[in-house]
Amino acid sequence: MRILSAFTSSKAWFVASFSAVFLSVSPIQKAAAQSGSSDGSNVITIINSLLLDTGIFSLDVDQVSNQRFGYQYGSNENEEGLDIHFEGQSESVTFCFNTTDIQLNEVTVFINDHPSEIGVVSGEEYCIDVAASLQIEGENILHLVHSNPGERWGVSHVGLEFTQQEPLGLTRVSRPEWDEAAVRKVLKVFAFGGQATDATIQEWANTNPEIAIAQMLNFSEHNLLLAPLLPGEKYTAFANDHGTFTGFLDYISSNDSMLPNRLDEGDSTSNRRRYAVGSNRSRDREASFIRMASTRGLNPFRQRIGLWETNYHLAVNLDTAVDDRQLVKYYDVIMEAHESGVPYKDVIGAAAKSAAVAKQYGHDRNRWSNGNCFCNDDFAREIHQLFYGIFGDEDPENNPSIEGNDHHENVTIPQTARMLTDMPVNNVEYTDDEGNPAERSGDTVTFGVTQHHLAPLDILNTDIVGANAAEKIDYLMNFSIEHPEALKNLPIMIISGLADDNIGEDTANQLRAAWASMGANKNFLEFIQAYAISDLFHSPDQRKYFTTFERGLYMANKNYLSNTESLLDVFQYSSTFDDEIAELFVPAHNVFGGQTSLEAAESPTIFEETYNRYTNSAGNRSSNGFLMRSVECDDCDFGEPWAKDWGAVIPTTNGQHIAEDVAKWLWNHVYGSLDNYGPAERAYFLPLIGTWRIELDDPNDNYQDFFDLNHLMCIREDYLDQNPGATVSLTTLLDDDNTGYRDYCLRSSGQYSMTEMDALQRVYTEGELDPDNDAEKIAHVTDLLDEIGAQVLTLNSGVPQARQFANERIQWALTFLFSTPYIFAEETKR
Amino acid sequence: MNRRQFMQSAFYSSLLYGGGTIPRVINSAYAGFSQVNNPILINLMLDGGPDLRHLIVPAWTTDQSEVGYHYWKYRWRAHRLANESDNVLQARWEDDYFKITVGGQNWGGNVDSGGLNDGVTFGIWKEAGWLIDMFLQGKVAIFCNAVGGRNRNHSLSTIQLEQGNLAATSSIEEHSGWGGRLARHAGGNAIALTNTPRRFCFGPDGSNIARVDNSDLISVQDSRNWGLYEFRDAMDSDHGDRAFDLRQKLAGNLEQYYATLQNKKASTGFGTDIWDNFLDHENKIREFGEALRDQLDFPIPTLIRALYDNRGSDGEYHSENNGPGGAGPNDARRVLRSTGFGRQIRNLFDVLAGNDASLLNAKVTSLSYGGWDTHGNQRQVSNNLDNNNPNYRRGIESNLRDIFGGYLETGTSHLTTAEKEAQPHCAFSALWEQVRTTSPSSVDNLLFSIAGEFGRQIRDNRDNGTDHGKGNNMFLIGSGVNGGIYGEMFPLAEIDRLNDSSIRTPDIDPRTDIERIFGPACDWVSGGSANTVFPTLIGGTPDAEAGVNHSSIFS
Repeated sequence: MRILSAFTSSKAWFVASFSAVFLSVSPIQKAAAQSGSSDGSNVITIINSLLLDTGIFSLDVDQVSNQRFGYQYGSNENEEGLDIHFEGQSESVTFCFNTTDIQLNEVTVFINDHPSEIGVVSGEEYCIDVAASLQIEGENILHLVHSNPGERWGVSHVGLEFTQQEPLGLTRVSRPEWDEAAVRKVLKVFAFGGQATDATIQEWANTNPEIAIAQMLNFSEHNLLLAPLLPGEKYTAFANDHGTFTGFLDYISSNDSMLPNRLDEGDSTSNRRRYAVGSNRSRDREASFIRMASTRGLNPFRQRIGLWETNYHLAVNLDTAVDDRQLVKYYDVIMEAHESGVPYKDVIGAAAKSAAVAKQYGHDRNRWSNGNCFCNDDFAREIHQLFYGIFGDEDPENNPSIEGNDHHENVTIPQTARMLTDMPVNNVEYTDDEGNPAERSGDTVTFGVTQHHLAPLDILNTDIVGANAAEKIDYLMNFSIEHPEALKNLPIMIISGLADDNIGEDTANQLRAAWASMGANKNFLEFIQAYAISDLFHSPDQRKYFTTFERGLYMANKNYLSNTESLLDVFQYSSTFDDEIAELFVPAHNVFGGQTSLEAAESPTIFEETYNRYTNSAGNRSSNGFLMRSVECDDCDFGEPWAKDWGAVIPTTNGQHIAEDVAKWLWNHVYGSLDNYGPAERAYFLPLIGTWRIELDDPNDNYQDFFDLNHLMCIREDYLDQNPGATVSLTTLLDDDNTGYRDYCLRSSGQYSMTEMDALQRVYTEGELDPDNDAEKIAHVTDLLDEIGAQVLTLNSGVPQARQFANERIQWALTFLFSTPYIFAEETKR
Repeated sequence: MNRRQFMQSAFYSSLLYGGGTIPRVINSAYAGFSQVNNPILINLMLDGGPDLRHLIVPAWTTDQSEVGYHYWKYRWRAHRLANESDNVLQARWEDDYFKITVGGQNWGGNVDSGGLNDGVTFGIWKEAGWLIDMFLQGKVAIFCNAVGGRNRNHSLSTIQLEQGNLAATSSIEEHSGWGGRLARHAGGNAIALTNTPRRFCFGPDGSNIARVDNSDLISVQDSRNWGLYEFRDAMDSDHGDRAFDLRQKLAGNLEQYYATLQNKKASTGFGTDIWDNFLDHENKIREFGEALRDQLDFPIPTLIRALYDNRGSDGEYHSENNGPGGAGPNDARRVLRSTGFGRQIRNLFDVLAGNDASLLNAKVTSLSYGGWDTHGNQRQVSNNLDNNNPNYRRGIESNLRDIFGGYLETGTSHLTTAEKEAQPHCAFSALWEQVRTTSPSSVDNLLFSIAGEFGRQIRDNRDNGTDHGKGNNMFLIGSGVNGGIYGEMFPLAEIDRLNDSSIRTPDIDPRTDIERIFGPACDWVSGGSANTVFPTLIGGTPDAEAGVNHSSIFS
């Protein structure tokens, strides 16, 4: 409730006695249906005075009713209309609800006894503002009046809120703008896509953004709305346990966990133990993180922020003096601080006091002795610069007129180095399973006094006091977070690092104001939640390019349907990171962070690797391309067979998986909207799903091979070349018996004919592929696509082989989606 | 119209960048190494703030009026010496540095611009053999007291150096780089050889240098495996076909889809859409990848491959720990500690092979080498005496050796034949020799520019390292350079700063801005380009060290 209260405004007239806004709903009697007449308001007043004791629903502010109201919708109580009761407010309020079977001009909205309507319900989601001037003190009634009583109609998700919604001063998107695409956008950018079901996503889209965002983005170890276990999930322990990095690693590295990892054999512990804390193999740490970010029952938002904190903002590097044990502890310390809800300064402070940071920068060696600082100033500089964005440019004691008189450089940084003295890392001896010495490591720091600079230090123009380095760091954080440069830079660092590569000055100023509005105890989560539902994030100006990590983990969550897949990492995302020269916990720029969004966008290599992975590698049948393996196996699941089941999540139309609908669903599933799904996309994508070899003599028909548009047209042209005037249908092209792919568009003598090559390499314009463009469309192409769209996939077939082939076609379709420009970035296109 | 016809159409070419220049393969008919007939700038960015006072040091002396005395007194920890006694300091100086006296020993015909260093003796770290030999041949210009960024902030100083704009602020993200501007002026392309293109390569948007247009930026991260998997790749092979080969289906379909997208974009214009980057990548990789593969019809030269690969001429992998063997020191063991940098050099060699105007039309290339932020343990020493073993962690000296190690095969060298045979060619040394032996005149058209974003403090920090400073040394190296020293090598004023304990962070006083150094280099690559690449030169505002004549850097 903490978050909700942050959005609650105390603007009611009688704050003391009405801490919540009440909303009550009651049906209108038949007489009220005549309220369309000019004197209907009197009737309404009379009728409602009789009905006040019926159907009262009370909701807190910013809550939304989960009931349905209407006629032949939820119940039959509201045949002629609906009254909604609420307490008057001193400012405008807004009602929003979803509609069902309401045609334009069918339902009119009135307020209290005002004779004129204040709105006409339209659209699938409708909101109406009620100005303060229209409200009265005490009880108010909003009337929805149906003009044709007896017809089916209904409303749901009825919600009431203040019209002006500005969490932390950021303008919030309206409820109609907060639609499914907006929800998916938040998930894509802030939660590696998450694994929420379509139904949950729809529920979030239908409720107030504040309510939804609190459920979507929080730091709990487990978020079963964001990462639910699907029915039949075999590995359910993650829903309640193993939610920290340490806990997750302990579990998956244990032979007792019974997970689908290869079991150790004999006396060897190398298989699973490589995931254990202290393995000191950065590749295995990366591989285990990929699993944690894509395993259902955990919380991908938590891991998304954890990745950013430990690889970017507060980065440490396993390829330096930092070891695995220190890294894992570091990750957990930061994320547990986030989860506890402490101010962000204390999250940063926890990081600054960690063993990982001490080893990373080498100040574990810093000591104050005989008036001399045996120190480096590495972290003394970066605790200000990287952790807060304080560069010293605005240090009031700098005197630019005097060469070299730079207070930040000459005072703050050297003094900070003295603060970071006598904080050695406690190394202890770890042993292996047999008790033999295995490693020396330490994940805690001892804050000593004998070699610490005990006296106060002049840092950021403030006397920083404390008995040891830890106390001084904690004290310093109070001033760092409120430093003018931190107020200017830190909120921009957060949002540019996570969500927007195109922050203009106006946006930056709004973010700064939002950040500053939280006062000294700035809360990271509150800031992220307010931003994620703001019109800044849902603006056409916002652009986000995805790093290799963000894109890879997003694709993992769009692909994996069960924990068997994530734990096996069947898609081998670790190797994709390697191909793209990116490694988790080994930041490309060391403490300055990993591969950036802009670097990823500007890198042709990343594009090239991606493209080739989903063509050459994915389709390599001879080497059992990884997409093939990601559909089924005989014994990979802890010795048991496993099969992918897209049919369980892709909705049906009248009980069938129609190719046209499946294509749109999959496009929306992967990209989050149909914004870029135009005629060209349909033409090149739909055939991958809706075409397959027809083996007339094979009872298991529906072979996995698909046909692309140009190949289909090649078969057609070759067929017509040899059979002038013949009629060609989809069945003709796919049939293996004399008419189709086995006999036409084949390389004779190792070469395609000119006709075939022209068809194979034909570049179509979008107009030629658009069935609605009568002037340009090529009818036989668009007709063929329509025919493909009508095909029925056998995702739910009783024949295992047919089901498998249909699932494989979904995987082939994914290779296309993972290779287009739209997988590399995110924008708001509205 | 098929895809290739479409891509080559005048319609497409004229609309793709609003009539701007787009790199295009004109003719890929010939193969092999194309002679480098026009100047090419090879820029090396040293990320992290390199301590180049570790590479080039003042002579050790007991004379307290000399900078050398104070340098060694305050730097012995950074050199990882046992103590600061005279014999220890002297031994380090005598054993590990090649001595040059301005106007005297080993000076040759080099220039001391402004006569600021007459009689000064300095040392170049001995293992930087290629640098020493190039200096002895008058091909190295050392710029002292130069500044990439006056702040000590890595990110901001890097932006300033790469943009060629010392007034840049950290909030400026999108801005062209000086290499991109130079390539544009030269009518060619900037070639990024790094994992991701550096901002140095970003081209200007028309005349607006504050905006970016990367239409003439080409990224070659893996020159030997560059290209998109294509339908036609396998068309003439025995590997199935469109009907049954899944790879061919996927590739063919995707290729046609991208062509349709390119077609659509050609009619609406590039530069406005978030997706443009990826269409641009697709276009360039498809066009240039295939052409460069055709060009590179020769194996990677052994000298180049050995930089990052342990395979010897027998095709087998060898351990770096076994020492030189087989047919030669470069033949059977990896040479560089940074295999990534070795691959950049491989990319560079291949790009030079395809530099011709009809293919890559390379004018500027971009390399980077990181790991210079040496706050602690700057020099690492162990009992391993095999300095040729790249797995031997040596701190900053691993970096220096990777880049500057080796020697010149021809002309003046500080090494005897026997000494040469005992050590391998390192990065630039291998590149230079391979280009020279492949196409002798080509080396004369190569110009290396080398700089880091800032320097380091002149006192060590008692943690065996050095902290951020401002001024530093920078280099221009090439046959066209008037080699020598540009700037006071070791200003006497540093003595007071070293000994004044109230100055907590003494560093090299920055005197010469980068425009003064790289402006003439731009003019050498593309006549009259300096004022376009560095507009600040027009007003004459960039600092230049008094007495130094930067207009004479090139003959």
